[in-house]
Amino acid sequence: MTGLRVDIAVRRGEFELDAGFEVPAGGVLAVLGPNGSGKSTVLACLAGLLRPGRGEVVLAGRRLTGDGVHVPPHRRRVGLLAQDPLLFPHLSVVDNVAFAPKAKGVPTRQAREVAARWLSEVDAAGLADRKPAQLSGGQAQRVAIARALAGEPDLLLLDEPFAALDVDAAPAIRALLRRILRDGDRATVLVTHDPLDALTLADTVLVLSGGDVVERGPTKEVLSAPRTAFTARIAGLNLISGTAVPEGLRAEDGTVIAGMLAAETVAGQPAVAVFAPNAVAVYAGRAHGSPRNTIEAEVSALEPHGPVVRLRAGAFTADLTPAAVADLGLEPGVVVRLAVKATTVAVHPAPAAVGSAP
Amino acid sequence: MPWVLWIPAAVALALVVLPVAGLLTRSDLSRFPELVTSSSSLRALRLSLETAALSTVACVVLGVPLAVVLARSRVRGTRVLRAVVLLPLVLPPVVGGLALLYLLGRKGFLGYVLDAVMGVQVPFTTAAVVIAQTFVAMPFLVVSLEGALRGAGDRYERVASTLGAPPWTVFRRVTVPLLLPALGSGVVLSFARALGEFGATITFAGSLEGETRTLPLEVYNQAEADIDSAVALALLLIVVAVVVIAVARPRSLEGVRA
Repeated sequence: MTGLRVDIAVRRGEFELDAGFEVPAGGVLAVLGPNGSGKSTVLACLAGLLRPGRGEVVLAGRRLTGDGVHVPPHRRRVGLLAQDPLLFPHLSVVDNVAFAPKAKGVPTRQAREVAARWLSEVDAAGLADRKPAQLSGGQAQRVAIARALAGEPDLLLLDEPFAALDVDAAPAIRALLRRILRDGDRATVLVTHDPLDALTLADTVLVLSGGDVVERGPTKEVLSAPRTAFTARIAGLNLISGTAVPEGLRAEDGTVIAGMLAAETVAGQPAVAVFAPNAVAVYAGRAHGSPRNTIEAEVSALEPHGPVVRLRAGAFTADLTPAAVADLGLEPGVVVRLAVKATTVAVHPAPAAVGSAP
Repeated sequence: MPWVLWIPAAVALALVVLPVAGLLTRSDLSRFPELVTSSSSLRALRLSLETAALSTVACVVLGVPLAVVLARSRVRGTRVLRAVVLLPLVLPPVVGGLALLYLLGRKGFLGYVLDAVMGVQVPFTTAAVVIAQTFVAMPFLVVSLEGALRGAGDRYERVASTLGAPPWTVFRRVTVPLLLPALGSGVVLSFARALGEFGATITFAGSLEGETRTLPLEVYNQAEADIDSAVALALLLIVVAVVVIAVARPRSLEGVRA
């Protein structure tokens, strides 16, 4: 088979990780979870930096771990992109990118040609002769992406690749990864604590908590309709699919939702409008007229959620205080108006459609 | 910074500078060229520079791998080894020399084997000088390299391995280049320590002119016969030390800039 198949168990003192998943060739899996949930351990096992106590890792038909086998990192064809670009400070940008081809035995000149090609692929051709110390955070991360890809890995691991970037640089790198991750037969595992990263880059999501997989499935389903309270807490977002338009998003039913376009969103392309449940205001009764971003829906459920009550109505969720629930006389079956301010709605490019898993 | 610190700091500086100044006032500069260029002085200077250079090479060839092993190995007992490596730093050099003598001397365990099998006798030869200097100087190099390695962590090495580089390539293309600044200062420190070596050398290698009598030993030798000559040679040692630090130090800091 192509792609990645993983089933591993790791024990470290009190902590136990037990995770199994598959990523098809060309697919992107996001592993979501808070700190200490086992995300980094999963990555270390895939990269070969940590040997799991039990289990197996099979990549593109090659057994990397399991049955007494433990292929060392340099023979795995597994690339790693961490938060910190970690460019080798003593090598120029082009030699950083040429590192992987050279390690494979490609002569320096050809390795530099390969490197130049990858640098232009990530729009960093002009940086070739600089030293890493002369790059901005975003530039360095671009070069680090080129360097990881120049090794032509069968599996690319992304470890919170935007966490160390400033707010201005992150969208451009996210857009770059969106473009590049879909090329070829490479499988990608993205580790993040930010559901937005998963939303914009991954087709499937796996949620880890305390070393266990608590939820998995297609990104939009998991993020918009979390089945566990845990996932709801870290990823319970309102999502509306449609097409990006300059003022926001045109939903599939034709309604236009006013919102802020994220930097990498292009009008006319498939997109998702995202807003948090605590950005939704709830009013009793039917609407008079139709103000912007107001939706009528019937309350389907009310769930206590820590200090707030999460209301489900139609496809949406809203967080309310228990007092508000009582004041508005909310209960399942009641019709309410949900309103959301345009400035709290972010319109992101939708994850590209994935080829069907083999 | 509290200004009170200036007081002990000034005392410390005086402790370093005043003895050297005292030496300068004591020396008869008019006879300096003549004293320093005497054949025994020149031979001692040359022997010192040669043996110190050889010891420094030995320190690098053996000390770099040792530092990497100490910093990166996860084998149990590495902590104990780390302490053992520091032994020559805390041991009086004379004791080190005696220890070497009882290892490599004719009655020593290894010395007996060398003598019986290959007919080689190490003590009281130039080779013994190099061994004694390497013994006392190596910890300086290992300690500065190991500190740098542990401080930097192995993040770059891990990235290099995920880029397909086998361990030897990682060592050659990542570990060593990143180590260059620390290696530079380690080399300067161990060369200076080798150059000034006295106790272990005189115990293990003796004081044979032209063969084992390095500059510090010549200073000691002359101090009994001709104190002016000893002072002149002492000044020469100071000059050499200052030159080493002035020439090598800035270069060692240039190696890699993050």
